Amino acid sequence: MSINRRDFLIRTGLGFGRAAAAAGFIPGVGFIGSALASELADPLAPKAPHFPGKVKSVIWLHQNGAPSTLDLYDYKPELAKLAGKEVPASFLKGIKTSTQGGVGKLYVSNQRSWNQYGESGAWFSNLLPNLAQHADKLAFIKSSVTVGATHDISILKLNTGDVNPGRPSLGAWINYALGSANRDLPSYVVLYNGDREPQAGSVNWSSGFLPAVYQGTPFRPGDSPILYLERPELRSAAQQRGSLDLLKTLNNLGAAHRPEDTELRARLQSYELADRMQSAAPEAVDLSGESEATKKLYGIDDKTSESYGQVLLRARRLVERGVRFVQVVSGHPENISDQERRSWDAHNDLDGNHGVQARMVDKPIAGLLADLKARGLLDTTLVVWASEFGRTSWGESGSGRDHNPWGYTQWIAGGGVNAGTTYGATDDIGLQVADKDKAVDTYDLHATVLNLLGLDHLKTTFLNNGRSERPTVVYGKVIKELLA
Amino acid sequence: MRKSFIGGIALLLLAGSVISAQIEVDDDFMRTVEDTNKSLANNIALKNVAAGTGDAKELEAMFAMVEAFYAAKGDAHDAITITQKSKALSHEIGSLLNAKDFDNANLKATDLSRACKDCHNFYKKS
Repeated sequence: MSINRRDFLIRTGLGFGRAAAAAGFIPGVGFIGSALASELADPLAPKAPHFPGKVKSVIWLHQNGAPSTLDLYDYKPELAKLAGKEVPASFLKGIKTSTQGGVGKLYVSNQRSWNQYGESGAWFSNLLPNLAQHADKLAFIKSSVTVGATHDISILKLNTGDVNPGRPSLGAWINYALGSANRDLPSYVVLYNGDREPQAGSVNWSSGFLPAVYQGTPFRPGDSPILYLERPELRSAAQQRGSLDLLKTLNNLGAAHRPEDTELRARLQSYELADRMQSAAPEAVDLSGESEATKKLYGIDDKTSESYGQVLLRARRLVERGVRFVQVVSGHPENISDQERRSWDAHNDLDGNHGVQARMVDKPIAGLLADLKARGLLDTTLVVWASEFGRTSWGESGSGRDHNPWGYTQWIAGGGVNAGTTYGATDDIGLQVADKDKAVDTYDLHATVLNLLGLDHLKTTFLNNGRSERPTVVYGKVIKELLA
Repeated sequence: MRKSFIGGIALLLLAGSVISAQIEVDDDFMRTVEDTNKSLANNIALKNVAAGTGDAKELEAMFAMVEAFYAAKGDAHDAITITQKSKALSHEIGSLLNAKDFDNANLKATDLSRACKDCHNFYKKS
């Protein structure tokens, strides 16, 4: 076989290039470790946690608009006594009250009543009669705090740990750290009810500086969770497979030249995932096989709770199929045209707003907890009730409440959780955290969730532009009292 | 630049607390503290002992300046207590890094960030 000078240079050059690529050489970047090289080849491969996790999946129930936990869980007899009076100065010490509505008089609805439930004796208001039956499954965090008093900023902090866009969401970190447990479905799914995507946008399920493949996949409400997922009738499955194979070959050629291009890798993965999802996703969210009793359990027989119930039933089905992180953003029931009742943001008419919103979520969340328990899934699933902030003890517009980042309630339930307990407290009027050492910021909640998944938040790191980044930024403390 | 900054801090500390107390603990200064704290967290994660101990020393010196500033200002008991705690934590982190105990250095660095946050909760810009 004859070989000319040009062929020799091309062949030896390509050979060196292949060897270098196999060894993890990235032009302009240098050599990367073998683990990282394999991650680039298959970024969603399952990875071992740092220690055995208590749960496999998380259902993150973001109550959008910030409910008044003072009207749901945080019973304050002293507030009832002081209702209608100015806020005593001692309660305002150390907080900046520049929220939009200013400081009004202390407020308590005359429609509110309270009872204790379960062996734990947890307090619930009359707004959550069904969830109250599960009191002993919950671990309350009554000393939640956050930063900011505007929804979009605090929602971003709730999901990413920072008030500026650009950081990965908690679900993306988990996806990155643990990989996928079901290659036919996205391992990080975002669900919502209502007629549009959540107001604060996709930055809340973004992968930030992590490779794009780790971002969340939003599923739309209704029968078609992902637009254009179904194969057109005129194209056969074999034709589609052939097209995808050709596309994959061409894209792989491009990717071999640009191994640092995570967007391209994510796109390659997404074509294949979309192909597999064409059968897996519709089945995963198809509720037709669920019994009437199950649908009723989730409140699907009630117009107000129907859409949220469907979303939570889908969440259970996704968790059942190995999806790691299901981020559920509450919306509003169908046929609600009143803008004031499309989220929990009750600046006025709190009774009207929370009457709708609480009825929308109460039965579905109670149903989810009961259903997970009955199927043995509650031991391996973590359910988190979270919100961007709470609401003030003082009234706004005569019948509402303003934003409160200084002290509010969130809860967790499921595997490894110290159920039937309460961590922290607010002051006597429910305005600020009573003991600052027990304040639980979003970073601490994230660190605790990661711990239950077997991840040390300090060791869940990613090198971004030479800086070692972690989910909890420079903060984060696992709240051990919340763990069983 | 950084060396000269550390040198400047050392000189000021040598000059005594009266001069230190006159230093304005302003936005720029606090931003430098914040950046150094982030750099410290990064260097602990990367197990970079030299850079990490440098950050810890720098932070310890800056917290000494903050302490002197609030002592001179008066009526700031909380700030002084938290700053003293932060100074001690910075020193401890430096020792842990020298002993290559990165796990505990990481935990203490998280405590330090929390202390910073606590102080800012007390002293908000109005």
